[in-house]
Amino acid sequence: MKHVAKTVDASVNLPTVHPLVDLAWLVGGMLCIMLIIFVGGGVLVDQLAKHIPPEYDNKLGTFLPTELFTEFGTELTEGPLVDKTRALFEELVESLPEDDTRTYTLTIIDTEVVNALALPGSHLVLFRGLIEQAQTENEIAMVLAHEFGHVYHRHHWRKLGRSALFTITALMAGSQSAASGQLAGIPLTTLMQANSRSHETESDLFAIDLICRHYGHAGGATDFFIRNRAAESHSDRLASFLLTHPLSQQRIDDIDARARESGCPDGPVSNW
Amino acid sequence: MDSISLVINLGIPLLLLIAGYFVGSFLERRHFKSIVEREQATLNQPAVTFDEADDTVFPLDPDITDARLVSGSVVVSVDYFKAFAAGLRNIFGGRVSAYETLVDRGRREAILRMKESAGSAERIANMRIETSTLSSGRGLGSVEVHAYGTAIYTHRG
Repeated sequence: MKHVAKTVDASVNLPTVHPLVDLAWLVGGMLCIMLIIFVGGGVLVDQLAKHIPPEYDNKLGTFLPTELFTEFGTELTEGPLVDKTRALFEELVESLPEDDTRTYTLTIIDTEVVNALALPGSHLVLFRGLIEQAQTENEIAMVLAHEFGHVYHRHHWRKLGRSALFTITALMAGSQSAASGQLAGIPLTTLMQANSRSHETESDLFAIDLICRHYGHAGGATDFFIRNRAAESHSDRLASFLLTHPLSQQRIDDIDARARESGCPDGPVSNW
Repeated sequence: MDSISLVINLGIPLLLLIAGYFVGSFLERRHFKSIVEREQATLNQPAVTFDEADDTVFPLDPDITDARLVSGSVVVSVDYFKAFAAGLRNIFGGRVSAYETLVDRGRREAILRMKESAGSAERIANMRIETSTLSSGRGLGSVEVHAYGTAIYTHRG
């Protein structure tokens, strides 16, 4: 019998799935896990945050390094600007919802920067730059009310929880390849920023309610955003999903809608 | 995160993935084509795994003139796309199909190189294949496949 050489079927060792289909399943699965951890965990975090007693806010504040304030600038403790702002702050504290039993403190920082923030521990921080550029009292009141809103809605705790979820998810995604960690950063950051924007909106709505309770009208509440609108860049508008704050126009619309819904009329602004 | 860091964080890995996929699959297709052609050409020079010195299997071939150790080795690297897919696969488990083509190419290429080094040998007996990874830190860097055996030369060849 003559031997005839034959080829063997080598295809058994090769994958049966197209590499792109394989990748699509893997990426899809990864995204699902990320969403479950981040979104599901986020809902859990928000629910848990509701049960944190206000005293714990102050406890969280004690963990803040004291240098944090000096990093922004030196504190302004006296002068007509300080007196005026503090008086307004005290008045607004009186108008806070009854269930808010926190003891708020206000620090005014001597810097040109136009900004305001709420720090854990019911600390509100206003920068001189913001106070000076305000044209009406109502603008400053709106900014302060917005920062009260962050504390009231426990945004520090909720952000803390979300940051932990972000880290866990990013670590998981990046555990096997640097590229997957890097790519996972995009949807995760988008979700983080969307969450941050929802906090800003929540604070804006809290603020307009507080302003309406305090003044009896919503006059001048959106002036700050109207001025700020012009400063927004084209790239901000293009990639607004990456911003920590909603675009000014969106905020104006949301605030106006809330004022209309609650029957809060427009009114005269107070000089600053 | 601003638009620039978005472009960097999303764009660079994505570009590398696309480049890895297209360049990687082009080179792979070309390699497989060459493998199949050379396998056809060397079909009459079989490489077998049994030991010819063991005459309990076959009677010893009286025509043997020479027997020599021959080996072929190949180092193949993964592309960015394969490494990415395999990295994700490590999370879920299952068939790492991205690497299957890689080791298949390595194995077949190593055998072909071994046959090439055997020259006019009629056959190669007692062939063995070994694989090792040349890793560079995280993940699989490259894979080395080494095939070796005893080239049998006869009067007939």
